[in-house]
Amino acid sequence: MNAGNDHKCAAVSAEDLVLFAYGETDDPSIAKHVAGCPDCRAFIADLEKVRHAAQRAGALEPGLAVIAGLKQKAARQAGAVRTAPRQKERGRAWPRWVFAMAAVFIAAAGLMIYQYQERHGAWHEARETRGVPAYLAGVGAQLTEMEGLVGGSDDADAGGLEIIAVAETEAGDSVAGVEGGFSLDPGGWDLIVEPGPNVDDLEVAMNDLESQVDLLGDYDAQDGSVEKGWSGGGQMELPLLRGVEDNASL
Amino acid sequence: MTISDEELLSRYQSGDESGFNGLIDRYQRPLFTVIARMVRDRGDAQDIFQETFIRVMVHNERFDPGRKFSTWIYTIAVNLCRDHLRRGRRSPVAVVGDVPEAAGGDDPESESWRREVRSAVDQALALLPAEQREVFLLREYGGMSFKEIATLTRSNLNTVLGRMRMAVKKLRAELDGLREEIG
Repeated sequence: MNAGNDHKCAAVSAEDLVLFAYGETDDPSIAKHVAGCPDCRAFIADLEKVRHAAQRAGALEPGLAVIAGLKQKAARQAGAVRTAPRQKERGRAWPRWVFAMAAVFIAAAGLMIYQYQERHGAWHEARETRGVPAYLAGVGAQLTEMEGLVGGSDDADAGGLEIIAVAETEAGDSVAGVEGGFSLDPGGWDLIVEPGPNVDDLEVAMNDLESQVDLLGDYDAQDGSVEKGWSGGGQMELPLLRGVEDNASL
Repeated sequence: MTISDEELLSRYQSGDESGFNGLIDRYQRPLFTVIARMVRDRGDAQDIFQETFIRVMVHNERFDPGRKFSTWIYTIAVNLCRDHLRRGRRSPVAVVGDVPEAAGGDDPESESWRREVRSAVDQALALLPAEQREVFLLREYGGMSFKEIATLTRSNLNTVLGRMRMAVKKLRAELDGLREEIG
């Protein structure tokens, strides 16, 4: 027989023969049976021919530029880890009651934010339909120059980024607006974006954000979306927009 | 002594980039081969390959030390490939064609023969249903055990073995023209 036909031997299943051929079973009865069964031997011989062809077809390589780019990113990230100890490590010396208090505070703040959003009616919908300029107007900033914008999941706890917009107020101060807070921790990787009137600090924050954006997803120019989130934990479709020219598509 | 994947990841987590580089070096061929033969387009395969490592980089703290790193990284890659194929940006039956192979060091004659085999194998793989192709590639090029593939695909072991059996059956039939040479 060959693998193009059905396996006919009733004594050992084809599935067990597959396991046997790949050395993933140590059942001695299979080896004993195969030794004396032409049908099973033919099945294994055919399987090995396919494996041989697959091996002859060879491995493929992504190319040096791809590897170099990845290693460069890894070096940057490793450097960031070395120079910026994680929040969790910094906080280890704190007593547990501090965390408990913080949790209560965060829960209360979350409730307040939720109620606020409920009261202001379809905030998210407004964001979707009118875009960031409307949002900025809502927080008292005038959009004169868009420096960076990241769309994200509404659920920061799920590891998504929140909307971040950088604009200039009428008074000339730069501000960063982040819905729901300024501390982002997507995927357990610390990224703190601090708002403030100091333009230098803001630029630092936005540079951090830029590197985060580069690392977190590919902008799809066709549909204006990017897929983010750990693939093992579900996908989140996120809009990702950059620059003033993208503002028109909001 | 060979350093485990998990140890390399741990080194990276503590700020040592050589840990990540070690993982890239270790996985670049098997992982890229699986991805490229799944999506069948070099550019897309490169994007998915990069995205896979970037997710490992960004989400490294989500790695469960109780699991094998190989299962985790292949899970990420396979999910990205599935999403890619679902979006239908490329025909799943296109031929890899322009994906360069790893240097083999063969003489020109066997190199030409290898190209022929590769083309035949790629064509045959393209005709398999995605779930059969997935199992075959993960086992043959990714070096994963069937048990690990079952974990990765959230299927039971017999389902995975059944898919492999069917994949082999179809590949054997498709590669019939190469029967003499590959035998």
